[in-house]
Amino acid sequence: MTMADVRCPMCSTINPADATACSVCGARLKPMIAGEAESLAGPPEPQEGEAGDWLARIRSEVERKAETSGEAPPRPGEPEWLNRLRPASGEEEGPPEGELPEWLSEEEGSAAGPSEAAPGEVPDWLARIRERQKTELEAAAEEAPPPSADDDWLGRLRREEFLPTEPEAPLGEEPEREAPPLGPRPPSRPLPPSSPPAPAAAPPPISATAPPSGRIPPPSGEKPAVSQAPPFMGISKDLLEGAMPKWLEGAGPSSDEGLPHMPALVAEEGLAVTPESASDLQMGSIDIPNWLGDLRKDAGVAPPDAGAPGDSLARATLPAWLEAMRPMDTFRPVVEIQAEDAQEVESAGPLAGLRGVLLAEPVVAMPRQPSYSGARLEVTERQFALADLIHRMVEQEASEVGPKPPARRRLPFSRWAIAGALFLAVALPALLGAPSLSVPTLVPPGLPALITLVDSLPGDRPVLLVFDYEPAYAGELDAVAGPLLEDLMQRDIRLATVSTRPSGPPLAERLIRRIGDAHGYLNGQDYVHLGYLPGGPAAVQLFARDPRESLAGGFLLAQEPTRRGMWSTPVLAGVQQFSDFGAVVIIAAGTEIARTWVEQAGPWTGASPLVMVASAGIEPLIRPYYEALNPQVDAVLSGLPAAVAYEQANGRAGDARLLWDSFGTGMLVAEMALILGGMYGAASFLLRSGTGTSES
Amino acid sequence: MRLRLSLLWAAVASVVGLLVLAGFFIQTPILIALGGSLVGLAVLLAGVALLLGLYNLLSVHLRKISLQERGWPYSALLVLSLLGTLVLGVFFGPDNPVALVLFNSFQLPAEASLMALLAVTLTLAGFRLISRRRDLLSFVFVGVALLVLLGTGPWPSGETSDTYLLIIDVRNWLAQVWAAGGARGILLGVALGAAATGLRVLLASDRPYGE
Repeated sequence: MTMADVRCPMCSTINPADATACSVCGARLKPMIAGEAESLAGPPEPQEGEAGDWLARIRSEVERKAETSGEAPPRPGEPEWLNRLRPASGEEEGPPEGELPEWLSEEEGSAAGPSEAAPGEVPDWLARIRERQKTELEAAAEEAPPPSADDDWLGRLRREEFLPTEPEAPLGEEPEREAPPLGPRPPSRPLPPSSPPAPAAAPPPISATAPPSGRIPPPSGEKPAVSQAPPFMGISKDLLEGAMPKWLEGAGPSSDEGLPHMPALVAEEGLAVTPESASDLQMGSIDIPNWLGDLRKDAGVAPPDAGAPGDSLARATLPAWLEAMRPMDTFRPVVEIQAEDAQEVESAGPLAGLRGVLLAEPVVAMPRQPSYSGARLEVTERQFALADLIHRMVEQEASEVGPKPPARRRLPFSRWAIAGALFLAVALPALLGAPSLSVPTLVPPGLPALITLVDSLPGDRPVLLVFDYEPAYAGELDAVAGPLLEDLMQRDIRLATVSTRPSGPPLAERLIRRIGDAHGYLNGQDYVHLGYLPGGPAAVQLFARDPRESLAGGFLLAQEPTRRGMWSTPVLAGVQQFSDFGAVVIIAAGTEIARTWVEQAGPWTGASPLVMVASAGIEPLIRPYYEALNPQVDAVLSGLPAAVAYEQANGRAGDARLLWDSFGTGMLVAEMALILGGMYGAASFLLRSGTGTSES
Repeated sequence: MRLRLSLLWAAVASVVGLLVLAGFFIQTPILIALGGSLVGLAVLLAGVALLLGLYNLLSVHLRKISLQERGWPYSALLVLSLLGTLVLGVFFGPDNPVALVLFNSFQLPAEASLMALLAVTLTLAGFRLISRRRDLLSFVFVGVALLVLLGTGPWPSGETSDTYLLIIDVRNWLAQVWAAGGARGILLGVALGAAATGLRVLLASDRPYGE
């Protein structure tokens, strides 16, 4: 490449000087602006006669100075800047013209740079340069004072730290350092990973915020070894090789008797800072040399405060809505984990036998504070409305209720009228014997079966009568059961009574005595009261299983000695079990007790029939046990009409017939009340509708 | 420990229930005797429960008397009656003449009178229902009650008329079809519920005896 060739600005291809476009990429080599190509090629040589006088004067001055200094005058045709550079180098500084070394001539062909030339191969010009530099260094070494202990090496270090970074010099031309770098290197120049770790006795890096507390001796007269490491490493070669500089040998671990303890400023990972070590961090307790104290003052490090840093801070004031959303600390925020020695040995699982294994409970089972904001309350409009409604209701409850205006006193005419009508309807037939109503001629469906059953009862086996009704139902059930009892007594069938209610035995005694007097029935001979059977359904089952074992008391036994031996009376002779009774007659007013006897005692009756004498109100619930393919109830007698029909069938007038007229008139009054009520309602409805139609 | 006790109670309840239930189906002397003994224990516990109920009633009314709460004279009358009948029953037996006189003179008329008032109350309720609440269900309710009353009670005109026979048939139809059908449904529901409850107790799924 000659000076006249033109390098392509796009692909750097050398093109001839007269080329206007690159032969390779076709880029334009000469700008289209007139005169720019000349400026790029170099300052134009003024033509003769075109330059002014000022330029002629300058040229003459330059030539004169060159002549006085012995320098060659500028050659024509060469730029001025090149002529200025030439005298700076001198003829001795560079190789003679045309004596370029081989390595320099091979610069373009070799990327490795010039190789180290042998001593005998050094050109003369380079040998002269080296000789002169050696002479200057020796002269400077003789003139420089010997380094002393009070040399401000640390000040130079500080200045070097705050000075801008010098451009990197090539290897071998690094300026010598008088002390190893103590400060941390800038973060943009990290240590290479291949650098060996610093020696254990090496002082920690000094920073502005953490001044060293140890006694770092100032450098002695012996300077550290010159490092051949690149300057970006900032560590001397001796440090890299693990060798300790001489000026640091006093701070080594072998001679640290006089050194104070150096606490770790940053705790190692996994180690907690104990209070003892934390106290060591107080800088006031560390003996700091004067020169380092001055340095700390210069750095503006404030002494640590005596109080806690948080004491001087004001508490944050949260708004009310934010304070209300703060989760309540109801859980243990910290899970306490015992020491390893105090922990239990794992007893199950693959870690059985190990101590100090990680516990699953702190993670899974033990309560802890939830990490999410669970106390956040989201209220919808509907919930807010309901809450407001409840709030108003509570306020209304708390408010005093004003006195109500006195209601207008009204005579309960309908109540008294109906009660009076019923009373007269029931009382008049009983008192006056009139009106006399006709007895029912229609026989209830179950009555013929009952009459047939009673007729077939054996006379040598007693009939068990269960009086399970309250005294309130005595008016109805006495009248209903009366015809059956009279029929049984007429056949001289012995009777035994029992009840699961305390009022049952007196009711039984009352009814049997009233009916039995006419038939000469005597207590203990013709009938016996087994008494009260406590225990509900379980007692009924137990009695059905074994009557003799479940009842031993009796009620109104004729002779005292026989109280414990009622089962040996003539009435109960031959009765060993429940099925030994000739029949079981259950007189009940409620559905529950009727079902209990049917279900608990029914399986133990055997061939003995089970007769149900019930109130008219429970007849529908008894009928399913009677009207079945396998009936559990053999006969049903319910209601006063059935009792009257029974008496009519037996041909004897009893209590049922005496009550029949009162019963009939009372029923008529009740029917009339319902009919009148319906008529009153219809009339009022029609009147109101007619009034509304006329008004509209 | 609490879990073990719960399991123990559940096991006891299940075993006892299974034994008593087996006594119904397997008629062996051992099962019958064992079932009878267990049922006897249940009867004994029922008697103890009755005593506990008596103690609770007495304590409640004694507290009302001591605090002079509203209606305390009635509580005092109840306590006196209870103690009187208790003394009579314990020392003289339940069949002593004084107890029978008290029963025939007080308890029986009082309860019979309350039942008589129930007849008046029901009649008045029917009247008000049909006169004030005029809707379909009220008419159906009162109409059915009227038909049953007409078919149950005597007629002044005798029982030979065709109307009476018709009403008798309607009454029997209502009682034996509708009422008996409803009663069967109730009984079936009760039986199924009892069976399910028994199974739950036997399987310890339901523990009415506590945890």
